[in-house]
Amino acid sequence: MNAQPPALAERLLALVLPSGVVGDSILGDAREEFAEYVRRGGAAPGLWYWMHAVRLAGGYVITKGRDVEMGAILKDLRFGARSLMRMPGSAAVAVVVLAIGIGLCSFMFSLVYGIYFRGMNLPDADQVYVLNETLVERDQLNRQVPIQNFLDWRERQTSFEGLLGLYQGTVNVSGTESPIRFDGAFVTANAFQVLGVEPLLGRAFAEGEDVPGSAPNVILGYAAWRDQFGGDRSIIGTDVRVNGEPGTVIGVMPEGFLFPDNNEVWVPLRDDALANARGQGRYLSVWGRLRDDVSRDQASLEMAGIAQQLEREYPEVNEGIGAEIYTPMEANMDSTLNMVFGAMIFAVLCVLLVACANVANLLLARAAMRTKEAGVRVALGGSRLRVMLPFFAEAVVLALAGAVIGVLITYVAVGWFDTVTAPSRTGRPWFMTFEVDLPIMLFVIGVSMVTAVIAGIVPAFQMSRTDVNSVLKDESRGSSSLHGGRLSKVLVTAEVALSVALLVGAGLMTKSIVQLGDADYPFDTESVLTARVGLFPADYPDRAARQQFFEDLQLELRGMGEASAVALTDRAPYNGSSTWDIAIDGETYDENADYPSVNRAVVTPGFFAAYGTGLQAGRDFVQQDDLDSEHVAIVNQPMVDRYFDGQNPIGRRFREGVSDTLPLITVVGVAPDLHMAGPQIQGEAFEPAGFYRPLSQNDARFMTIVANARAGSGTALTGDVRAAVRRVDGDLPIYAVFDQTELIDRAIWFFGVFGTVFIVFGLAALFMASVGLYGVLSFAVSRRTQEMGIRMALGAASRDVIGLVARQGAGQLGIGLAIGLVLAFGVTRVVALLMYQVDPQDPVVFGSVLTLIVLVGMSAAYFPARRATGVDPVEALRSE
Amino acid sequence: MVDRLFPSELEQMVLLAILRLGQHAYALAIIRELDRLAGRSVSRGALYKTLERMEAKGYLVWSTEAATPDRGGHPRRLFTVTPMGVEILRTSRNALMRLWDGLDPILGERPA
Repeated sequence: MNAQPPALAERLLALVLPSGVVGDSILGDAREEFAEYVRRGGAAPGLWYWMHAVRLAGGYVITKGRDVEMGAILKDLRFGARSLMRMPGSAAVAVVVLAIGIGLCSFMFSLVYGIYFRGMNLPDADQVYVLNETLVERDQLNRQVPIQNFLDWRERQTSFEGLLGLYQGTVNVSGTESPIRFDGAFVTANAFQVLGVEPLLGRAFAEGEDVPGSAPNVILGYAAWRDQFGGDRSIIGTDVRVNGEPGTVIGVMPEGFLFPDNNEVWVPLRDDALANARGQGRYLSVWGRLRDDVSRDQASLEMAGIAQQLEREYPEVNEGIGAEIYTPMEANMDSTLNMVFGAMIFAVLCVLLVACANVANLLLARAAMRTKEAGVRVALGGSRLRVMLPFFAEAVVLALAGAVIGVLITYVAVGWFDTVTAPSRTGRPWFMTFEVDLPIMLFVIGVSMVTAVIAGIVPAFQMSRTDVNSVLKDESRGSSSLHGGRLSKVLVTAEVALSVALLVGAGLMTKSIVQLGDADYPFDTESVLTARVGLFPADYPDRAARQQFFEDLQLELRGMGEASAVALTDRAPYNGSSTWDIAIDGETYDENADYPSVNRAVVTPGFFAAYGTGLQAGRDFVQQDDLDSEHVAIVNQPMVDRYFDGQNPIGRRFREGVSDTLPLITVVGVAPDLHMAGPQIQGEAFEPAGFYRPLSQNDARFMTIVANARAGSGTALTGDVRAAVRRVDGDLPIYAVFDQTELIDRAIWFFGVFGTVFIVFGLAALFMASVGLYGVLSFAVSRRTQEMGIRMALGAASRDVIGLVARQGAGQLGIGLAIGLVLAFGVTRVVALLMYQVDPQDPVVFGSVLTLIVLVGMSAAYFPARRATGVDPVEALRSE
Repeated sequence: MVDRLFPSELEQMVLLAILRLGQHAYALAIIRELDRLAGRSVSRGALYKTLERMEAKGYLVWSTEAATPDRGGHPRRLFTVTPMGVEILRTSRNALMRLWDGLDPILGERPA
């Protein structure tokens, strides 16, 4: 049997060849050679045919009737490169400008690609969806799903190959050496099957392993296995205690699998759905793998139908509840982040446009000097294309050189971004990775080509319109009247405008970052250690047991000699916030929305001392504030200002919640503002007011230990704190151990990282605008050397000549500034989302940016003007 | 009338190879012949293009030969040099001969 060459290669080859017998016979020749190659036993005949076809087609096309043209294009490219080498200064500037434009643009693309397009590292990841409940009337589009509804969904739906449910929580694994605490996920047994991921070692959960009463077997993530268990393969089958219950390690997942939210271990979800009434008990995140033959729309429709059935069947809990499906990306990104990235893409496109405008300007200037060359080409009958090509070729050469450096910039910037946003620091989803890989490189190539076209098209087109007659007759003066002059000015004006907009954004960002670095916290930070500790129902089944544990723990902690003060809280400052609606006794509220919604934290006596602030008025909580005594609270100063009219609130009362049947709580103290709500973000509702309640009148399973070191950093207390916890319960680990400074850093990294990015964009734009202004003015001056010479010869003073040049510069600068200011106000609206305690219309920032641009603009104009005054009239008149 | 311009070197070589191959002058055979006798490896694309060009100039014509299984049902083109092609070769050869004349002491084969 005859071997067949690859059909696709043959078909593509046929496209290049002439139709009819000629092409046919050439295909036949290729077949014959292929057959011979196979007969000789050549290796990889398919590949050989591909290469043969490419060579044949290439040779054929290049010599196709206009071999002259093709050769000329290559010659143009070489000529372009050589003529650029003759002006290394301006070529270098153009390359740097393009490199910055291409580099920043590709950097931005890498981020957008990593966030929105790379997707989860799962087989057929685009079939994996997140399913949420919705309550449209309250604008809630991503509610978690009550376990009872989840089970009904799973039973009734047909669109998905399977649905998995999960909730996240702490998983303590003990019984090996010392207890280790992990961020875990409690998943239905089908989870790994739905996701399509096999364990690296051991097995996944089997069907029925998630029923109530079964053992909490555990599957380890790769990092957990490697770091905590030394990568020991014999770990499979080891008996351990999981959150206090006996279980077995049954599997290890492959590296990089951290589903769903950077989780490190997985345990079966063993909740009894029937133990609670509908709508009570566990709420789950639900994921599903869409069947191949079902569209997303069909699935949405089916889920909406099921939600409607459930609404009819259980109206008391499901009224108004719908169901919607989302891609993981849609579920992860909120509109604020989308807007931030939108703004950054806009900014980076501006930078790229400015870069193109600059290079176009440079080429225009060169084109103007070569008008005569173009005129001669046209006169000799050169086609429009042939006249345009050399200028285009220069743009291509510049863009290629820019792309090479641009890739380096991208590489460095993406590496930086990947490091500063590492999941361990920021909670970035595990599947978002930022690296320079094939898609990114393709983008760089694409963007470079686009750049070359944008930068090259204007000058090339300009040249092709050369009027032969006037150019050939009108010596050098003809070229200064080239239309290019006006075009350059428009480009520069646009550059100035874009720079103003970007720099205002950058300026606000800078201020925001400085603000962050200098932020004066009204409480101790460096010396405060925070560490979490959590209790499990298996070991601490009721409130009394938990209260006893926390009391014992406080006793142990107070015994630490190195700590000046210790306390417990459910929320340390900058570590999440929770708001509660309250009703102040004596006030009336017409609507639900009128009730104050303020921050709430549970603390133990000594909390304010632990932060070094103490109270401003009233008393601290005491151990005697228990369930049998009066319910008490300490309010913070912002709450006094907002809701107690700044009056002394001690003795005033309020309710936690809007129901009249709730007990009244009496204010016993006033605390300073300890930033309960975390970082203040412009453009979002921000409520600094809040109150504290004693742990002894509450119940909690998870608390943060707060300890203030007598000397040095709080982290020095880590060992003492761990030992104190061990003395109360040897099986309990502490986790999330930070000093308060670190805790704040983790809450505000976002501002620093994105602020830095914006500042880089702004500086890049400023650099480019000044290069552009300088280039255009210095070109204008050089074109008018003769005129300057005559003016000087006729007695014009230096300052007249400088004025002449400066006026031209000032005009462009002025118009650019005006347009830029309008743009800037638009930019600030978006930038505000990223800013930390900065007024988006900050006059200092606006003023500084304007001054900076005027200064840079004027110096860009000054040097060419100075050169003009240095002109020797005799030289000038002689110059061509 | 014969083109006043001389054929290019590749054109001459291809025409000569076709004449030598007689009845069997198809593209791959021409390539092999050029490689064997002139030590010249010609790219397929350039050869097909040269053949097309010389056909347009009237130096050669072609006819087809039935397909063989090796060729996947595609025909084979057999090339023949036209009288005009022969004429241009002759012109070129004469010109070269005149130029060579008397240069044997410099360019001739070295005596053994």
